Amino acid sequence: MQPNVLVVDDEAAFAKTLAERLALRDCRVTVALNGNEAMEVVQKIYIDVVILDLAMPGLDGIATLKAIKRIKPQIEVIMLTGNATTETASEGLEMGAMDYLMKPLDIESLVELINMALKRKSWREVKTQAEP
Amino acid sequence: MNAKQHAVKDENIRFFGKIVASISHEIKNVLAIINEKAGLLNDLTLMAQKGTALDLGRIQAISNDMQAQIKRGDAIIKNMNKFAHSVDEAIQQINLMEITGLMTTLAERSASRQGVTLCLIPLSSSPMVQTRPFLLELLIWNCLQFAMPRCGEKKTVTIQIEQAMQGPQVKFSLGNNPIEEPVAFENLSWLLEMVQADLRMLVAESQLILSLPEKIACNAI
Repeated sequence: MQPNVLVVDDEAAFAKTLAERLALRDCRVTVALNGNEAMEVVQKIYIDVVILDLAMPGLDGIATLKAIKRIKPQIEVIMLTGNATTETASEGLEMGAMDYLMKPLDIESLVELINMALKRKSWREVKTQAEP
Repeated sequence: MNAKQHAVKDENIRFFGKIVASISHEIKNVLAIINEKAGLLNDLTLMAQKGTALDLGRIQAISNDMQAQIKRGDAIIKNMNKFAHSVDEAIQQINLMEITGLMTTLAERSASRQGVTLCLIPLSSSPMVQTRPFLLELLIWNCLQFAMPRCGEKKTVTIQIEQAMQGPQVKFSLGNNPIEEPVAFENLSWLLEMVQADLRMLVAESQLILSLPEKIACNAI
């Protein structure tokens, strides 16, 4: 199954190159350069996994995560952080993000997480359908 | 060391920490981009080894992007270096335009997070001031931090250096955003005293004016 991935990062060069590399690894990728754009995308397009930078101007990573989880709780979110401290990432985990990765990224670790996110999402969907 | 000196030292360390954290984040971003570009080159090479035609124009573009990021990283590190050296520099002649430019650049990340644009008006011949660079940097930083959340709908802070009758000034214009609250700058009184500067808000003009002496007394610090 080809995962539908949304990459959200205000560093356009980073977001677009990462999107290209994920596309080479069989992902269907959309890019958003800020939290507001990300919200528009998740409302218009079917997304399985969001790769979300935590430090963004305007609607920051944590606010975007909250907004995504409020309207589409089934979407899995993997956070990206450039900070050496993990306080914000821990806050994100408490708000329902699946995991986080540090920048600079290891692409294979990210792909592994995307695949895990897909499995988790399908399992959750099956569970929801099975519930009376 | 008395309580006041402790407080000053703490404030200086806090300021230094904030700047270093901001710069390190910028450097991380540059490294993250170079990492992705290098990874993409590797991906394309592996694909070429498996028979996919290599697009040389694409390779050239990626290489140019990497060089641009290296230039960006170099500029960030140069600014960090200038800033770091200012900590241990004694009183010296400073080009007011240059030091304001440095602090404006260092505050850009903080501005960007607030959706604010910092616009420094260039000046070919800047006034010089004789002062301690680190304290002046801290003062300009505080002025920018005060101005950014108060610059109204235009979200722009315009910074201008002037040689006024009473001495060199840095003007921070906040657009047409009226400032209604009284502004005392009590938290900066120790710093203003050390730099022998004056900071006032012109409410009608929505301007913050930092007035500096051309030369501070050496026994002031």
